[in-house]
Amino acid sequence: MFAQTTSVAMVGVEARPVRIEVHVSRVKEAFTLVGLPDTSVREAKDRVRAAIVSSGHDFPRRRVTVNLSPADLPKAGTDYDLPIALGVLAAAGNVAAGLRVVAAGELSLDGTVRRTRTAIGAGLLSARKGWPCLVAERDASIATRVPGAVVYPVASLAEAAAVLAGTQPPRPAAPADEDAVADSAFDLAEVRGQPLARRALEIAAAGGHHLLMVGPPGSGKTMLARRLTSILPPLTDAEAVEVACLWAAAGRHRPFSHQPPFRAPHHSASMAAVVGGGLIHPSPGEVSLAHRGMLFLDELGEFPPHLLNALRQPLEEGRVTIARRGSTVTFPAESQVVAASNPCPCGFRGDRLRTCRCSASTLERYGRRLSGPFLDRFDLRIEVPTVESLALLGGPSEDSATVHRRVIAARAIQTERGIRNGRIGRPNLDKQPVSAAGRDLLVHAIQVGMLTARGVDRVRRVARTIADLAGQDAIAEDHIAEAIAFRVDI
Amino acid sequence: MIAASGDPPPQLYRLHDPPSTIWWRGGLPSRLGVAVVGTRRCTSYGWRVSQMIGRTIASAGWPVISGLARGIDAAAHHATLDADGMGFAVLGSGIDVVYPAGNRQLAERLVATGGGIISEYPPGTPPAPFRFPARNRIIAALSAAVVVVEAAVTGGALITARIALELGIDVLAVPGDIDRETSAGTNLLIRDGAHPILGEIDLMQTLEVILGRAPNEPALRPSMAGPVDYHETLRKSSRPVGETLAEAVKSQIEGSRRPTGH
Repeated sequence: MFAQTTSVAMVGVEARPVRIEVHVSRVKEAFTLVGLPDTSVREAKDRVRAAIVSSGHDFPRRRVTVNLSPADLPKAGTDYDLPIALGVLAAAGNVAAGLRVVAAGELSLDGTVRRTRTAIGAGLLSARKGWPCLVAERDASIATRVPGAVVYPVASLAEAAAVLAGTQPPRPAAPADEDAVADSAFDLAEVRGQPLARRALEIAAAGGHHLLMVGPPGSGKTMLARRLTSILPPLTDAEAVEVACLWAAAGRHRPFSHQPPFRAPHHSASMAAVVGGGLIHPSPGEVSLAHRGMLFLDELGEFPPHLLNALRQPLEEGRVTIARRGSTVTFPAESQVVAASNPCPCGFRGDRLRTCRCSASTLERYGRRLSGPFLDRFDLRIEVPTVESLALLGGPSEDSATVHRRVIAARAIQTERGIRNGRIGRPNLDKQPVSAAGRDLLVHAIQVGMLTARGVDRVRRVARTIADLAGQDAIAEDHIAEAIAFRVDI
Repeated sequence: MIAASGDPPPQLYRLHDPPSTIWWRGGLPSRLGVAVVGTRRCTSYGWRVSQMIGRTIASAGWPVISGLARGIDAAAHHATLDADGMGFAVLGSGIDVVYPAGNRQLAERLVATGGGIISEYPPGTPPAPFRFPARNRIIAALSAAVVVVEAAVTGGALITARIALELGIDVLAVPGDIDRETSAGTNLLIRDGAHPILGEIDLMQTLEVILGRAPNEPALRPSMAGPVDYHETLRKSSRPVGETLAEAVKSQIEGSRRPTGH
């Protein structure tokens, strides 16, 4: 006898259906699993057998063959336990055959359905095929976030079988988890002084510009960077689904949230961890996990140069292509990069009072690490000086909520325009109206050597955001001038 | 390597112990130049000012004389090349032994652009600590003025300044923070009578008094737009951050475009 169920595999950020065919024949007892399963999938056999017996059903004492199709698509993980078990029950005649459902879930030996990483994929497939999807109760809230998905949360294999057999009505999907509220532990109100950096953060958040901060140790670069998350606009529904897909593809759990992701890889992280990698099949790295959110590179000068060079493509194009022996996949990577760096290894170069102890050759090596083409990706580059002790005693500064409102207003203008300023390209940039005085100022800035030709576009982008923050359609002279102030040579 | 050797140029006979022979690559300065000297371990302030000084002297058409060391020397040489000027480096080793090795390319560019590298030691002589004070006297003797950019009280640059004073050569010094080691030497020189350099225009005026009219009439001034301390500007301002920054950048650009003052 034959039965078929459907599950899901994440290929890149795409949810691909995996057909699970189960055949039960009369020859002697056996249980085989074919269709490019990896070890974790192959072990499903033992879990499925135990779960079926624990659920009060008989495991067929005959030859059971399970085929995961398409056979050339590699399958990994424990998400296939539930659909395989349902397929076996159906093929053995315990459940109606011809199951038009998507199922994903790991089974425990007592038949409980456990959460998976591909719940968002099950939701996507459910919406696409118009079939209901069966997932663990904890996964239901994620799957329901996909518009059009019909989600049946199931606690156990017995419940799943009963729902399919029609002997038990499906429960409604549990109401979705509340978004984790904006991390109130980080608020701009706690930042004393640093007016330049605060302004840079606001512009970076409003336009999605990459930001580089250079300053001595203890000047508060890390503190400032963490607070960018408190003023970033929330993700749209579609963006939140995208982020969830990437995390699923990476095999990571993240509660479904409209909060932009924040990732801060350490400088000792490997190339595969940051850019993306995988042994045979590509999996997304930190730059993709931070998609639509923020990637914080602390101690930029300590990152190995080859890693920084590898980040150039994702920074510029917003996606990263990873080729491995098994396949080549392009992951979205529209993360906003915030980098912090000491001015030199000892940290005191350019300090007003303390002397830098670095030798000339050390400085040269350090300077080479932060290569020109990489630094050029940063629209905003500022110096963060040590705050004088007296400024630390001052009253609270403007809080994140206030800045957040301005950022959201500026973002709304860009959404209407159809492109975020941080990613605005040449043809669109040329369409932005600039006042005559603004154009003159650009020309003069180049003439006196304050601006290089390649810096012009960056300045125009930042000026666009400054104008948006001011609610003005045309880019004025003052907007250009302010943007130039954020392009310090580091 | 194309090298030449011969009698020292006449300027060097001002010394009570002129070298008996001189080796050089490229050329020898045909007229008195201006020496730019200072510490190897310069601050970013010293580097910036040394570049400004090197550029000013070079674009006025005077030879820039220095020692090809790291720090202040290198900054002055680089600025000379950037301004298409003539730069001469006096070495404390043989002319085929460039020390530090990192400045070898810089030396080649000096030779290739109408300047030269000069030494009183025969080719193959390794650098040694006692040779540097000796070469400082040649730096001084080739110059009509010595500019000390940044130097500690114990620095070799002060030796150059002392030799210059003995020869009756003018000494100029760049003032700096009083609590910074690398400015202690230059501030001391100023207290003892050296001319303090107050800026690019002041430097030009002083040098024209010493050396006479500059060979080149400076054309359009290259970037004078030194970095503005935006943090300081913001601290003093009570207006919104954006406005203050815009104002600072505009006045900076305006200031750089004003025609030169002489």
